[in-house]
Amino acid sequence: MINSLRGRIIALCVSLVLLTSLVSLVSSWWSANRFNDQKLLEDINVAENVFKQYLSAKESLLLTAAKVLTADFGFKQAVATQDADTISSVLNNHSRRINADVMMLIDLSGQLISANTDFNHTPSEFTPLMNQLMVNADQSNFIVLDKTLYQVILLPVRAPRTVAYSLVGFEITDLVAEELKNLTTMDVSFIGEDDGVVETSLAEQPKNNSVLAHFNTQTTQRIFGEKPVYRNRLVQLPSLPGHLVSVLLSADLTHSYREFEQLFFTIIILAAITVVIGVLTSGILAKNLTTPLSKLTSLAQQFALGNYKAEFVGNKQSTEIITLVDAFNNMGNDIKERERQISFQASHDSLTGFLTRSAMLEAMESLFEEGAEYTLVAIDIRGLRHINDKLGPRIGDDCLKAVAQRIAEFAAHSKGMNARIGGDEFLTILPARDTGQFKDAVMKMLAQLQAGYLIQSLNITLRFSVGVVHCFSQSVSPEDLMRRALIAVDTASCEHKAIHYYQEGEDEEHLERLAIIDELKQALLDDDGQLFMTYQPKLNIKTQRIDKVESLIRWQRKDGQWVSPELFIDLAEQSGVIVELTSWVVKTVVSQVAQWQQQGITMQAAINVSAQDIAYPHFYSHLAKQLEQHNLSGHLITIELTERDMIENEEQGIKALENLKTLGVKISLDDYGVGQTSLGRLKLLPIDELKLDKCFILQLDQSKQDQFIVESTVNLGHQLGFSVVAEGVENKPSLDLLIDMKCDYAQGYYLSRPLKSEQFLQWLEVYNEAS
Amino acid sequence: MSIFAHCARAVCGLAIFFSSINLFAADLSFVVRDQSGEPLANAVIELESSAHSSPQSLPVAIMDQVDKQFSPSVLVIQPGQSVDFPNSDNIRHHVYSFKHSKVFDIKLYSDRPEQPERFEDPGVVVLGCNIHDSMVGYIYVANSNKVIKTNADGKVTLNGVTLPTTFTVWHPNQLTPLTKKQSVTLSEQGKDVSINVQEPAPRNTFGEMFKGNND
Repeated sequence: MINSLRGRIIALCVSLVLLTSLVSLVSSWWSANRFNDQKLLEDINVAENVFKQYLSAKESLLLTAAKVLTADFGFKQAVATQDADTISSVLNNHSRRINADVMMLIDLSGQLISANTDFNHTPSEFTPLMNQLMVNADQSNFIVLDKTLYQVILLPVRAPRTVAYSLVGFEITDLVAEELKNLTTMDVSFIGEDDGVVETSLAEQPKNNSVLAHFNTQTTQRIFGEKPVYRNRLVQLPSLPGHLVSVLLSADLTHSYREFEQLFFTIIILAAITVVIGVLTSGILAKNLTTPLSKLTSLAQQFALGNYKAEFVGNKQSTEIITLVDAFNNMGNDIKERERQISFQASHDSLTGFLTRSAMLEAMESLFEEGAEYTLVAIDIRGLRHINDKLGPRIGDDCLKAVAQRIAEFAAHSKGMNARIGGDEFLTILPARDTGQFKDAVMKMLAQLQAGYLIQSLNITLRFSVGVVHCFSQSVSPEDLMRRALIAVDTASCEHKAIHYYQEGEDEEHLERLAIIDELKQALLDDDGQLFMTYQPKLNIKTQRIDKVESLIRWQRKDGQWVSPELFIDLAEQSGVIVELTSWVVKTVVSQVAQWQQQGITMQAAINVSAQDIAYPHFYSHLAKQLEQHNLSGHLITIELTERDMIENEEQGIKALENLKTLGVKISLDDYGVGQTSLGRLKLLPIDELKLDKCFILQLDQSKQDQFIVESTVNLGHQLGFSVVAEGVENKPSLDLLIDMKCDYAQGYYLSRPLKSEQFLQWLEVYNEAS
Repeated sequence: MSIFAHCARAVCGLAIFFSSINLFAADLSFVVRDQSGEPLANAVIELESSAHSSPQSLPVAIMDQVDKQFSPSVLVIQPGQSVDFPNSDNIRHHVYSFKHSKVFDIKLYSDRPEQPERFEDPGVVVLGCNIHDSMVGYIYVANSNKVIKTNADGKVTLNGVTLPTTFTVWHPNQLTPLTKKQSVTLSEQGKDVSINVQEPAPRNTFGEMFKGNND
């Protein structure tokens, strides 16, 4: 609803004020109502008491007067005369004395003897009324005589026994009601309903309504709706059964309504004023509270933009706000410090404090823009891995630190432009000098680096490969320059040289090799005949028949250029594409062998495989899948591995080979005799075939030594249960020697160079016909 | 019906006749009671009689005033008899009567009026004292000389009456008007006479309404 703090504070204050006003309104309403009600009730009670006192006084007066009258001896004497005229004149005389409106003498049976005035009466109504009065003779009563209301009292006339009754009474008129109204402040109405007599203090008698109905039903329109004008109380007066007389006391409520309405409006106005004040004060309060908040918000926004120097501007804040501002400033300082640390860490190597590769590139970029000439030196610690393995990574790290320190010392003048870009590779920038001079400098640095290190009381000698590239002009970008230095150091490392100076064109060669890898990938993907298999026959010397071939991959680009198999296989091995390549080879060869078999030619085929292939977990499943797909027996496939490949990951390799053998395939040890396979190891390998390296065979007929080696190796192989293959057979004498030595297979240009499948089949046909 | 039965009946009737003969001119005693059975004193019993005493031979009756009361409260006299109203109190009294046959008032006197009042006509005369409203007295002027008042036990004895006998009863508190005498016939001994009475209301009916007592 209301989302801003300011709005909420104002809403809270206003609702509190409204609630308070409402409560006070309701409570004053309630108490005023109660007070009014109570006051009204008290007023009516007072009025009733006053009225009763008035009546009682009047009755007392009446009684005193009547008593004195009836006790008067002369009166008694007059009554005793029983002369109506005399009695009437006496009554008249006495009524004037006591100011009574009516005075009568009634005999013991209730008959009228005489009255002070003439009035219409019929004995049949009058006598029973008097008899009732006699029964209620102990008090004054209100009766209606001749349509007039009287308060009367009946007193016996005794002479000395009761001889008659004297009735004395006062007329109750509108004037009496008005007099009572003046006393009680209420409208007074005497109502003799049975006799149809009403005397009221009301100024004008209602025309179409009875007085009782008027007081009971009169209403007035107030702001809270239609309200009764009068609050009434009906008091029964002492009167006779069948002729009841009562008095109605009516309090006029109009005045109290008006007072209450005034109170109500006063409270409403006060509440409105309070609401206005509440809005204003809460607005000020909210402003005081929210202004520092919005200032803090803009401060935080400044921090977000990296402006940590922004300051809080504001006067006289509360302690809470000051604390918050301090916390903000501390936060800004902390963030600034941490940002500095992080950016340092991002651009610096944590171990040596040297720049990272990207930071170095940036630094070189600025040099590049300056157009400075310099020499970039890449330094690689050789065999650091062995140190880590054998002496522990802490020693390795200490070595790195020590080397870095020496590099930094040497390059102290080159403004710390040193970088560590790999585990054991460093870059440093030397100022540009003449060719001879910078070579000296590099030699000098290398000499310093190669001096012995004392690390944790160990004397360690480290060897280095250094690649150097000189930046002559702006033609080479920093990135290219860095790559060239790394190529140079790789070259030095591969060629086991201490220093290699980058030669023009090496970069291009490197890039070309990368391009070849890309092309090879594409060729494998396209499988459009650029890559194809050739097959070199192997002669089974015992049967003099060709029952085996070695499959060899060839690549002729689309433009007809040949790519050397050594080159692209080497590149494939380096880049890991070899797995896909071998996979393609396996698929192609298995399918070819299967095709031959369908043509009735049973031919075993050998496939050259690298250590990476054997280590590749899916190699086995791929081969098995291909064999199964072409319904080919595993023994038609021979896997050829070089000694070098066999050595890498020896244990796992042996396991993988044993696994492969479960498919029925044969394992052949390629290039045997030039590698590092000891005889002890030889007996452990799960191989079926030894393939003598061609260096022993090429000039077999001319070298007695080769003949000894070959003959003894053949014998050794046979003794160990292997068949032996000689490759590189170039002439007939060599083949004859191999036949004499009981070698099992011969392969070489003397028989045939590697041929495509169709050519091979043609050759095979010719060969078979010739033999 | 047998002869014997007729004879027995005749004997019985004869016996009753003789017994009434035997009771002739006997004394009759009875008690006058009110409606609740309480004996009534001052009830006046009067038998019819043509015999009248000579006024001259009648003594002056005394209606005394003692302790603001008439004494006796009921005085029975013969027509023509005089009544003296001596005042035995040491205060004055104003004795009056409005009885139209005998209107008199003896204004504020003490000791003894100048002369006795003579009452000629039979009837009941109510006496009052103008200054002491509580004083009420009655003078019963009898028709005959055979008249008697009940004593304090309500008892009366009539001498030499024959049964059944008829007489009148009067009492100042009787419910019937004060001038009326009730006629009663008694046919045997041992019967009581009963009449309805009511104490007259006290004079200060509105006493509680008056602030003071004006007696």
